[in-house]
Amino acid sequence: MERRKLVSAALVLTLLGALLFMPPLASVFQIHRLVLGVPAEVIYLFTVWVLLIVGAWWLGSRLPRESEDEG
Amino acid sequence: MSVDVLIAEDEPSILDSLDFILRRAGFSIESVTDGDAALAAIRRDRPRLVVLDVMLPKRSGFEVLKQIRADAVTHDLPVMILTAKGQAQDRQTAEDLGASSFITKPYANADVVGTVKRLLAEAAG
Amino acid sequence: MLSADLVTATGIAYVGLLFLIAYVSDRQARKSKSSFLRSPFVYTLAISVYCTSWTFYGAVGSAARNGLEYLAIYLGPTLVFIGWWFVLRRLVRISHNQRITSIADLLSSRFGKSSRLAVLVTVIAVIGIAPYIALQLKAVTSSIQAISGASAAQGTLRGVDDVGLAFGVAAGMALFTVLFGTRNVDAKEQHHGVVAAIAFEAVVKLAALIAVGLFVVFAGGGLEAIFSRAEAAGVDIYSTGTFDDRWIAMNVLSIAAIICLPRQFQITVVENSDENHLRTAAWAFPGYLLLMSLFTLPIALYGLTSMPAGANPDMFVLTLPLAAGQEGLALFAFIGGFSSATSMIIVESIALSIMVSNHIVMPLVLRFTQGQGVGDGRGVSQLLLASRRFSIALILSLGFGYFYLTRDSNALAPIGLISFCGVAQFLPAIIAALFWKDASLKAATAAVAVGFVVWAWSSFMPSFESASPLVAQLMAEGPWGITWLRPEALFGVADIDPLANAVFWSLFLNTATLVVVSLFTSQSALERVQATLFVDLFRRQGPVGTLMRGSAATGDLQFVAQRVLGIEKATALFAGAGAAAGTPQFIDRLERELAGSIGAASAHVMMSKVVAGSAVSLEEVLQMADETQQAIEYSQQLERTSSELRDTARKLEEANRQLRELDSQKDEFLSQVSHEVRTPMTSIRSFSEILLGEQHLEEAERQKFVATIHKESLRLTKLLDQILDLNALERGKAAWRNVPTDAEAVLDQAVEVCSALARQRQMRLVVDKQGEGASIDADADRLSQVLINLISNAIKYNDAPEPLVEVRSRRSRRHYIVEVADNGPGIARDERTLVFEKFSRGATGTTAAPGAGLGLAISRQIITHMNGRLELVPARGRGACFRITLPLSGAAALAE
Repeated sequence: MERRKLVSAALVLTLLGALLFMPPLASVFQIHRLVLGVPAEVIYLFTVWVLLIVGAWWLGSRLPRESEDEG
Repeated sequence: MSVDVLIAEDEPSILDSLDFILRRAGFSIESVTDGDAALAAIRRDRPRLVVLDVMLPKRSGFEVLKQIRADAVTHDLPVMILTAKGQAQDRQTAEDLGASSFITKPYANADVVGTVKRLLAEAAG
Repeated sequence: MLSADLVTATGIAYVGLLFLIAYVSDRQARKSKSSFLRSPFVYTLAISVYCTSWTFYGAVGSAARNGLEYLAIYLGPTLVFIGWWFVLRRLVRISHNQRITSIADLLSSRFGKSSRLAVLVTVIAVIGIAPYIALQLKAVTSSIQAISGASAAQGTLRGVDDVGLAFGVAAGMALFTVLFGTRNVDAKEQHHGVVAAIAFEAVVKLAALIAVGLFVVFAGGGLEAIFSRAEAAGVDIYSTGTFDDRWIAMNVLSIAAIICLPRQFQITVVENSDENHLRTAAWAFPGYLLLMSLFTLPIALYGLTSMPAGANPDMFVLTLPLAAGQEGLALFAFIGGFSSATSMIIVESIALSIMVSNHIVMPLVLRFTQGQGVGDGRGVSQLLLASRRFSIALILSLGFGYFYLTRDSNALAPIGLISFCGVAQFLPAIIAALFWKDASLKAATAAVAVGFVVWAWSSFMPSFESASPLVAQLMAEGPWGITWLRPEALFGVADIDPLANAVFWSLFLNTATLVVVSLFTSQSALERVQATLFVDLFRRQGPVGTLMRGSAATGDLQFVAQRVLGIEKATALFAGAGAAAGTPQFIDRLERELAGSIGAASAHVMMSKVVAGSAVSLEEVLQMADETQQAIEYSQQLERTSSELRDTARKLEEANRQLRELDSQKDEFLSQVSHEVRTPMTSIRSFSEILLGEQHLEEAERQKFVATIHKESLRLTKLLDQILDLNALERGKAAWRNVPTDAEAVLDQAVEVCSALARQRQMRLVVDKQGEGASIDADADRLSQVLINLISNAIKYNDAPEPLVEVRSRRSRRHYIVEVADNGPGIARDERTLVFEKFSRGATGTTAAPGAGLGLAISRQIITHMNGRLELVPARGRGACFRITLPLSGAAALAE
């Protein structure tokens, strides 16, 4: 991906994370049911969390370095 | 034999027409078809008037005119300039060089004859 | 139960180990610049100083009471680090550029190096953090009591109540921090030893918590068993209603905290040695947080179901292993909790002490000493260390004081949130500092103050409810009975969570003040300069422009530098600068160097005093610097624009020149056409007049005149045809079809047409054809037209005594070539290129041509249409020689 798109991806990842952690999206998984023996909303929050970490790891090495800074 | 009018014109058909109308008007005519010949004829035959085309081979009409005006002998010789270009610039050049009259082709025969008569009268008067 | 002495000894031994690690790491860091200590992982681990005993103990308590809510404290920071590119990276870059030493320094620097704002921020930070320090003291105290249980009554701790214990812990921490953090004053305020120790502690606390977590899962018979047992016991394992206003408020707070907490700013920004470490921390720190909170819920639920009712859930991490007889694990857990608390206290008090000494103590000292006479060269350096130590003691005392006043409330987590809400008041100003150039000093100061007041009223004060009847009364009835000012129900909004209430109103009024005041106030010159430096961070190139102008004796500068930086460093600095010492650039650099030790505002005041004349004209100078910057930007813009304009103008000029040329060509052409038309017209008119006017003409004469008129009209027609033909050819409009054509056949045809003319003129026409079978892509009629034109010209204008016209043809590998040569008058050298122009006849009459002079121009156009060339080549002897070169069929394709 070119640098502008990478920066956009980083922004989208951050905003998406914020949306997924907040109501109403977070409440969607409050279904009062155990998944793999664990409440569904716990699984949901931790899964989103792991995906964000993976996303940040993927972007971390790809976002432009200092020498390519804007300006 | 004295020559009234020397015609310097390289287009044969125009030369024919000038020759005809001026002879009819009673003048004696000599004709040449290039600039060098025109100057030679003027020195040799001393015409009373020259009808000079601008676009002449070998030496242009303006150059001939300049020579005429530069020579003390021919200094006052009446010269009628004929040109097919008819631009203001040519008229100006002709005036500056001392042309006595300037006529644009195609001309009315009467104009040519009338002008020749007038110029000869002025020269005589 | 473990003996209190063992626990105390373990704690002290652990602190000793930390000290050893810090000491060794400091030496290590000094020796090499690229050690493990400067790796991104050590950096990330140090950032996890975010996880204090609140995380270690309090999160379990929170989970036991409020279910999933505790996660909000970790999700906010996760989002900030995922989005590191947008905020953290800017903070780190700015702080490196500007030698920022703390969050107070950052805001002060951005808003015109204002010392007033720095003081305000420092005071708020110190007050705001006090509950947080108290939380650590409380946690350590509780943990010692919990782990030693009944045995606390024996040994060295006998007779010591929790207040005394907390005091002991606070004093010990103060001593430890002083030893750790203030051994020297570094220009960059980087403490490699401390960072290493903190990183080590991060590993210890994570390992301890995971160990306890695994123990619980194992003891509880697996996750499913723990959850179902808790559900059976009536615990709301689904955290019903978690995602509400309080959840959002906590997320907002934790987002603010990870940026604004002084210790986080210290580690993430000030101690950062390489911006690229953020790339690793971006995922590794959220990962660390995830691991830290992975077992919180199981531990809490297992504790709720297996421990007796009334057991403090905040201490489950310790009491669960103890209850199972796992004393070793319990001690490990205690060390983990102790790690969390010590690391927080150390870093927080270092960060705060930097702020207090740089922004409060130093300016006061400078004011009272007029910047002079602090004694010998090491004065300021000594003073700095002393003020740091004093600040650390002060901060821990405040923490202890808060602990003392609120010792009756039980839960840990709410105390932490009070601090979070306090420091969150910096967030609007920080965001504005980074992204909004028009945010002004007055606005930032007012905003932070407003936020602080609302926080103090709605969040800080209520925490004293249990300690003070007055506070309790205020909370119930509001001041003077004004109910809409009740702290936990501001403006009459009573049905939202008190925390959400405080967070919303404080941040809302804070931000509103910031925006509104910024819109209605103007910035000073220095503010504008700093605003540009901050907001246009990535647009600037090269070092910061000189902000101070004036002259200073190198001696004065050196004196100041020595006192702040120490003799060694100052000497090195001046030696490095050499002759440049004293120049504005050097003064600027020195100021930034000093700022690293005493903060931007103090450094600025100090330098202003030293640099003669600058104090008077500072505003002007800064205005100039600002305007220069603007002028530079403007002129760069202009340069870009004007080069575009130049380009356009050049193109236009070129187009105009071509147009003018075309125009003059057109004029010339018209004038020539006019001349060419007038010539036959003259004859026609003249002879018509003769025929009309003369009654007595001889029949022969009449015939001759009419014939002349006829001939001249034909000439006129031909001329007009040619003009149209040429025009069409030039515009490419002529119907044109190049087809394979037998070139020799066309030549035969043309020669045949011309031979009649040659015979008429008694001229020899020699034809030498050598191009048999040549096939060319051509229009046969047009080619024939060209050949006839060339041959007939050669015949017509040949005035040689023995006139001869030769036509030669041949073929080369790719071309068919025809030459038409004559022994006529030839063409003068200087006219050779002119003959192909329109209306060019040998002007001086060497080739008196009766044609209009369009023939050759047309011929050349035609040959060009056949991809060939028509040119005049040197003749063999007298005369002219025209050559046509045409590509053979197929050769054209070959050539392309």
